[in-house]
Amino acid sequence: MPININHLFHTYLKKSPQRVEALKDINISIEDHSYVAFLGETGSGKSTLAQHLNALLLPDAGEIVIDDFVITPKKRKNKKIHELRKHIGMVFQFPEYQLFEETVEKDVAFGPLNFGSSKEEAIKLAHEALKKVGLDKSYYLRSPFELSGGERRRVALAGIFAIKPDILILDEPTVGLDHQGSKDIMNLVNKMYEEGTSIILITHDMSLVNEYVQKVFFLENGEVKFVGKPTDLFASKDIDIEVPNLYRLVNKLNENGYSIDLNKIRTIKDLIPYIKEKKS
Amino acid sequence: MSELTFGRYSPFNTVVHRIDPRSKIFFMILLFVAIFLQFTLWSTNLIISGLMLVLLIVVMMISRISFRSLLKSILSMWFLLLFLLVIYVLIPNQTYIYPAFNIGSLTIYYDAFYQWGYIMLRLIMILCTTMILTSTTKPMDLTNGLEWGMGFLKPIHFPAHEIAMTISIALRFIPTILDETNRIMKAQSSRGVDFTHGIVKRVRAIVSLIIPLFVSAIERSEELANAMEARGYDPRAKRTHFHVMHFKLVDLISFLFVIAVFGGVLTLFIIDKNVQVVNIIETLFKVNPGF
Amino acid sequence: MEKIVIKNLSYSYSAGNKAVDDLSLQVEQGSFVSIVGHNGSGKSTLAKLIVGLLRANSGEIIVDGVQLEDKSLNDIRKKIAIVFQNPDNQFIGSTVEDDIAFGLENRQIPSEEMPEIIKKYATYVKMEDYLKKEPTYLSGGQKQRVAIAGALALKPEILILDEATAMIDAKGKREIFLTIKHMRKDNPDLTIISITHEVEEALLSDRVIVMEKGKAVCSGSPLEVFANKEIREKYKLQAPFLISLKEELKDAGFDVDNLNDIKEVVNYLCR
Repeated sequence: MPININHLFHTYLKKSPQRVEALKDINISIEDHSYVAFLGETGSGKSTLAQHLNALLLPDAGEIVIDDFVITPKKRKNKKIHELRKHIGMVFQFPEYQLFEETVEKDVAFGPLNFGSSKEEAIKLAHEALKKVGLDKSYYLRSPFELSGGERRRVALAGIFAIKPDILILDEPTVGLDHQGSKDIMNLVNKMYEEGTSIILITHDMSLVNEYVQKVFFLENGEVKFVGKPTDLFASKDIDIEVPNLYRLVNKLNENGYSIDLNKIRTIKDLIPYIKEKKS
Repeated sequence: MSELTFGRYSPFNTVVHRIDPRSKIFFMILLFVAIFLQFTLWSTNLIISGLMLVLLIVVMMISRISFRSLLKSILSMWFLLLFLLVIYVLIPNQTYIYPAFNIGSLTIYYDAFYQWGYIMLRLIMILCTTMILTSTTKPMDLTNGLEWGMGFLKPIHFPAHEIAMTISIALRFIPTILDETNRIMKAQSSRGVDFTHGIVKRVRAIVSLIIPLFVSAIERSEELANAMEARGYDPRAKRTHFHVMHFKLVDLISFLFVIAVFGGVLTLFIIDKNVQVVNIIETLFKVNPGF
Repeated sequence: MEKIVIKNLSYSYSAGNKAVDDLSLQVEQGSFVSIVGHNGSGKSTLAKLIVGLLRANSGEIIVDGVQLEDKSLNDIRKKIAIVFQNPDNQFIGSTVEDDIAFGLENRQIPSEEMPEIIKKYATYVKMEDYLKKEPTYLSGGQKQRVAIAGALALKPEILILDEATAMIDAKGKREIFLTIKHMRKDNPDLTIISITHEVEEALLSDRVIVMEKGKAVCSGSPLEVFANKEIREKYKLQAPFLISLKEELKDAGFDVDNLNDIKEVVNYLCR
């Protein structure tokens, strides 16, 4: 499902002296089946932007067009919002805190049930989703609250996967997890992508961006400051981000006589031919 | 967050803001007592309450409190006000003496409206008093003041400090928990929960909100307790205070002022009780020095 | 001198499930030790045992030659400060200054001395412009720096960071790293124990201890531990960038064994 955002504005606490213009004239488009990231500091507006995509927030002006859904400031009571949310899965930060049912199976089936699946269908979808996140039969009837943090996060993810969204938005999916846990979660997300889901990642972690993302939207003070490939973002001098070590190294090497094309570098291994050429 | 306007601390620096929180709490108690003194004649009641209300409004103006938020909080109680009116008007009362009009066989008395108006007046005065206190005093100072105020109960093992600490932590965590509520609501909405339509749906929706909130609140309280203990907190031990409260000149002046108001009302009340059913206005001018 | 000695320590939350299992280790005074290991390896439980928030089932914890027990708990606690993972759940005061004051109030520091101490440590973590701010208006990294200021204001001899950077963004993490570096320079006697997933942070430390299933399974300098592929794979540790880089270069036939940081690698490659 392609997404088009036109002249989107959003302001928090409109009538209060603490009013915040969270989004100012956002115009972006995201193609069908893409893997993109919203980047920016805390308070840059990236989460606000993401929450517009499934109408958790409505714009003050402008519109969001997703396939044949249109979100405008006025469609407050529109029934289509419910239908839209079925197509757009949203995983919030620390999703393990949204679990509430007495069994894992029931919790994962909660979404599909809300979106109109029958009980059997919902359970079937739940089982599929749990299998996808690597939790076997022995977990179905356990309470989500007795699981470890990493397992709970997987259950929460399964709860969104079971809805079978076309677009999956993830807000800092790996925060608080160890190296292996983060890797597992990102592999799952990647699997969803390969199966045809569009992915929108909201993150601070540039190594994730480098490893998975095709296109980034960098926000600053509610405005889109940069759109393009991650490597171009890393090479750009006027954007303040934590450049991954690899690109910091490449930038340094280029300053000192190398001419390496950042776009061709994904891992350390890709560097070796350049170094060999230079050193010989 | 924006909805919690009533009585929220507004960071101005007026005279009222500068009064010591302990004094303000004491004043509030005195004013409450004055508000609840009931005189014999309704005219007396209305005149004295009216004067006190004017006084409170002046203090509110000095403290730069917006009347809109007062109006809002009064309007938000519309149900209670209506309910009270219905009770006063419809429930027969032997003491009512001035009939106003009849609806069928039911006689409506002027007294009922007076009673209702009087209750409302007192309610508004209480609102004003509380608002003046909470809008001009930082929550932390308020709890410190409360702790000091309850201090005289400590010898009988009244947990004054524990209560004050509990209140201040609750105040500190209100915004955090509101944020969390907001996030969980949005997360469940993304899973197709509808928080706005249908009673059955809404109950189910609330369950999906309440349980996660409880789970995280319990976790939070455990971590908070650990953090407090690790930083040497012991509810039984003596602690010093970062905010030291000092009685100042404003406290003395405001004290004299409040005492004058309270004393005035109290004197009138005593006169009223002794002179019995006499119009207080007449009494004011006919007081017999010998009594 | 050994600041902390732990001997045969065991603890379990529920029967038969040991979170810390017969663990022994020592920490030198003035050293910076990182404890790494994946989620559930018992790292945080160990931290809680050291500060006496949990009581061990068996074994000993000895701080400055004194064994941790009910009698000595208060005295030992005065030497140790801890910063936890969740920035929100350890912010106790209603403003930055109130939060730093909280520990001072508990220690019965005279009121008139507090403002100066608060100012000093807020400045130390670069939060001096935020003294009157409420936590709602601070980022996670800023709250953690306030927590560090609150901990340092108590003049601890040992500072424990229990995954203090796990929940904050990259910028916040970098600020915390800088604060740690600053602390070490400023007070060489301060013993720092950092429980962390951040390998780049662990690289700053003098020694790395790897925990797995409640045991300390290996220990050594950061380079020794992380350069050992076998250990990394066995305990699912991420390789720091420097180590991965050196390994790749070595595989390609370059002699990089004696290069100790990125700067040296760049110099070598551009020579």
